[in-house]
Amino acid sequence: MGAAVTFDISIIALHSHALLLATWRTMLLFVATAAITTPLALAVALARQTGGRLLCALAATYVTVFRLIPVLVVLYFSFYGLPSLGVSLAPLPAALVGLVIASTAYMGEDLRGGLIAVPPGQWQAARALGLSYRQTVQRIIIPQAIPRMLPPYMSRLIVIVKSTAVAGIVSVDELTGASYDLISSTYHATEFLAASACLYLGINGVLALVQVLLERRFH
Amino acid sequence: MAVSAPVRAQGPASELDLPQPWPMRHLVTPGTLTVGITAKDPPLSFSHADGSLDGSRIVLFRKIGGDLGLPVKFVRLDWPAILPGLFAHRYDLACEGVEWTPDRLAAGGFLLSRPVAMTHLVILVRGKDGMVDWNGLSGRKLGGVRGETGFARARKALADAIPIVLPGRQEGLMALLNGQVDGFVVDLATARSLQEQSPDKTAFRILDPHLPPGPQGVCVNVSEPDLLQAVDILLTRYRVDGTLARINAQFGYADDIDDLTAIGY
Amino acid sequence: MTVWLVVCILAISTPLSVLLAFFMRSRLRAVRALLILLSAFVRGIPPLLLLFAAYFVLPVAGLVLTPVEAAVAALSLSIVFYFAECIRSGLAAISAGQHDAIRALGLPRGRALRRVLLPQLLPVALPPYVGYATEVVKGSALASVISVAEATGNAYQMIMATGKTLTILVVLGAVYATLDGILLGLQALLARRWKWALP
Repeated sequence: MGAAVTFDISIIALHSHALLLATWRTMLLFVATAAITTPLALAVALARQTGGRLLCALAATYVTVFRLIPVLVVLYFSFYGLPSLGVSLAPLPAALVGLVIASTAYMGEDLRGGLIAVPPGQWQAARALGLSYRQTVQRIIIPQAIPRMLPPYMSRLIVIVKSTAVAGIVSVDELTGASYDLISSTYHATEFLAASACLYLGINGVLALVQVLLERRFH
Repeated sequence: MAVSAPVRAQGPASELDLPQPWPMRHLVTPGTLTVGITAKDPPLSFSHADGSLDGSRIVLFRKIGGDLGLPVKFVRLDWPAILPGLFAHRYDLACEGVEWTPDRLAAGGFLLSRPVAMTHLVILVRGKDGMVDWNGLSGRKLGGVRGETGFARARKALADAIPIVLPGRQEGLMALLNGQVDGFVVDLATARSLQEQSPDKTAFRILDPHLPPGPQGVCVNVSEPDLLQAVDILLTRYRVDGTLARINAQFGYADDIDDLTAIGY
Repeated sequence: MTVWLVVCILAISTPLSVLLAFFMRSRLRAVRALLILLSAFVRGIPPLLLLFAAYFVLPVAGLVLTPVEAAVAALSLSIVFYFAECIRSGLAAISAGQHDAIRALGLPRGRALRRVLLPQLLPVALPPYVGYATEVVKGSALASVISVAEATGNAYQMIMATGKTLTILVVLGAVYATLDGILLGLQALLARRWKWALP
C-alpha cells in the first residue's frame, strides 16, 4: 500500500494535439449550443410569463417534459432512435439537437426566475405609456431582469459545458470521449483524467471570469 | 514475465507442488482476493437478472482465488473507473482482458499477466448488404467501440474507411442496423454473443478481416509482484492442463485458444 | 437506492448552500473572493471527476469512503454551489432598504424571514433551484460508475441479462420522471402558496 501513484506528464505532451483538438470540439459544441439555446430559452420564459393561455401551457409542458427526461435519453433518441423514423442525423447535429432541446428547458426556467423579479407594475406602466411588447421587453424588462438572471444564467452555461460530455455517446470526439479513448489505448488513466479536468476548468474558468466582470458591470 | 519461464521448461506444470494457501503479503484486503470488473462485457463478465456474476473471466478469477486459498470479492465498476481504481490500490486484480500493445506494456502503474486468451477481430456487416469481403468497406463507415485496440488495428488496416467511434457494443449494433455505420469491429467471442442475443439471426453477418490475433492478459496491482508471479504460474498450469481452454470454450472462445501457441505459449 | 441518494444529497447540500449564499454576500472582500473562486473551481470540474476524486484520491489522504459515502459527498459538492448561486440571485432580488426597514420596524427575525424575505426570495430562487434538484436526480446515475447499485446501473444489468432493451429503458425513464415529477409538483405547490408574490 501507499506506493506512489505514477504520474507521467510527458504522455500528456505526447498526445496534446488530440487533447487540444477535442477541447476545441467541446468549445465549438458549447458555443453553438449556448448561441441557439439563449434566444429560445428567453422565448420560452417570456411565453410562460406573458403569453396567452395556450402559449403558456405549451411552454410549461415543454419545460416540464424535458426537465423530466435525462439529456442522455434525448441524445440517444436523436441519434439511435430517429433513423427508424426515417431521419438520420450525423453525430454532430444529433448532439446539438439533443443538447439544445434539453438546455432550453432548463435555461427557460432560469431566465423566468429573473423575469418574475421584475415587479408586474413595470409591464403595466410600459404598456400604458404606449410601448409595444417588443419595446417593453427590450428596454424595460430585460435591463431590469439582467442582474437577477445573470448568476443562474452563467451557472447554466457552465452546466452546458459539462453536459457536452454526453455527446461522446453519439460518436462526437469531444473532450471526455477523447480522454477515455486515450486512457484505453495508453492506460495512463490518472494523467488524462487530470488533463481533462484542467481543460474543463480552463473553459469554465473563463466563464466564471466573465460572470464576475458582467456582475460588476450590472450592479 | 520472466519469473515463470523455468516452470514451462520443466514438463507438466500441473504436477508442480504449489504453496497452499499461497502467502500473499500485499493484498488490498488481507485474506481476500479483491477483483475489479465491469460485469458489462459478455461473454467475459456479465450479470444474470438476479445479479449473480458469470463469464469466462469471472470463472477464471474464482479458479485463481480457489487455488491461492483466497475467497474472491468482485467489485463492480464502470470501465472509466476501473483503471483509476487499480492505480489507487482498490483491488488486487482487474480488467476482463487487456490486449497487449506497446503503449500499454510501457504504461506502468499496473502489472500485466500472461495471456489468458487471444483476441480475434471480426467485422459485423448487415445481412442484407451481401458484403463478402471486408475490403468492400473501404471508403465507407467503419464503426468500433471507443478505446478498443482492435478498432485501432482495423482502422490502420483499412485506412480509407471513415471511422465512427461508438460508446459500446449495443450502440454499435444499433448504429449498424440503422445504417449509421456499414461495418462494426468487435472480437469474435463478442460477435457470437451478440448474434446469440439477436432475435433475427440473419440481421447481420460476421466477416473475417484476417488480421493477426492479439494476446490479452489481466491486470495486477503494481504493488503486488508476488501476486503476479502466482497468477502467472497458475495461468501456465491452466494453459498446460487444459483448464484455460475449457473455461474459454464454455463461453464461446472454442477455436482460438490454440492460437496462444502462435506466441510460443 | 436512487431515492435515498437524492434525499441525502438534497438534505446535505440545501442548508449548506443557504449558508454559502449568505457568506457570498459577506461584507468581507476576502471571504467573497474566496467563495467565488471556490465556486468557480468546483462548478468547473465535471461531477464524474469529483466522484473519482472522492473515491480514489481521498484514500491517499487516509480517508477511505465507501462507494455510497463517496457518491453522496461528491454529488453534494458538485451541486451545492449551483444551489448557492440560485439563492444568491434570490437574495439579490431583495433590495438593501428592506433589511433596514425590517430593523426599523423591529420585526422579530423569524417573522421577518417568513413574512418579508421568503415571499420575495422563493419566486426568484425556486424555479432554478428545482431545476438543479431534478439534475441531482438524473446525476445520481453517475454513482453506478463506482459500484453503487442505483437505478441506471441496475437497469443496464437487466438489459444485459434479459435483452429487453426498450421495455427496461421505458421503465427507467418512468422512474426518473416520477422522482422529478415529485420535485416539480412541490415547486407548483409552493408557487401556489405564495401566489400573491407572483405577477
